[in-house]
Amino acid sequence: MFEQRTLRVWGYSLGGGFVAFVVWIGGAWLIWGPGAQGLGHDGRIVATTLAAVASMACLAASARFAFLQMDEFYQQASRVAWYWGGIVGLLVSVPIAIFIQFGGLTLLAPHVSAIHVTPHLTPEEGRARVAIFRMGYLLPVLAEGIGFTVVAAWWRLTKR
Amino acid sequence: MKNRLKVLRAERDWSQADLAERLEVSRQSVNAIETGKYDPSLPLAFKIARLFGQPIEAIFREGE
Repeated sequence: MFEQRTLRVWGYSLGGGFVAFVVWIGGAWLIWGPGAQGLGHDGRIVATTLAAVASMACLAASARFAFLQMDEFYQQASRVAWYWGGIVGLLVSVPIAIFIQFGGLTLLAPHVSAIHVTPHLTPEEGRARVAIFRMGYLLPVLAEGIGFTVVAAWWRLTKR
Repeated sequence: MKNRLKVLRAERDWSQADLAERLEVSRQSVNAIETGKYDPSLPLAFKIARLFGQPIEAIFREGE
């Protein structure tokens, strides 16, 4: 029913995702669980971040292996999908992020707006939450832009 | 780009899956090449030419 190649691609993708999840969850349990009292709060933050790095390294490795299993047709499909899908997804997300940032969710669901959930929210706290949301949105966007720039530069340098 | 892949395959009574296995690509790749929706890379085009024992120009030609 499915070609061996397709099964290998799915195997690497799902297997890598599972391993990454285990690394992340296992790391979090070790770091924040009952047996890790001596690490201190700052140490736990660093250790949790390192666990996330290890988890992402697993995902990166599985993505590479999965990509190498594809034939050229599906590799090209993957490149096109990431390029245009990434760009369109980013463009669509901008007005959504702006809508949320300016309180648009209160228009959609006034009965569950932040003002009603946290009635004692001061304007300063509200601004701080907007700033956190903005940072949370911009971080992956900037990371994607930096990644694109780095890989594009690498491509040009290696093709001279 | 137009090609004679389907004709050459039919002459040998191969299915798309058979050809895909010989070229070490997916069946979908073979289908996409035959229908002109995907142009193979040079290495794959050379592989196809070697498999059918014909020059590349005899299998592939420019066209809409």
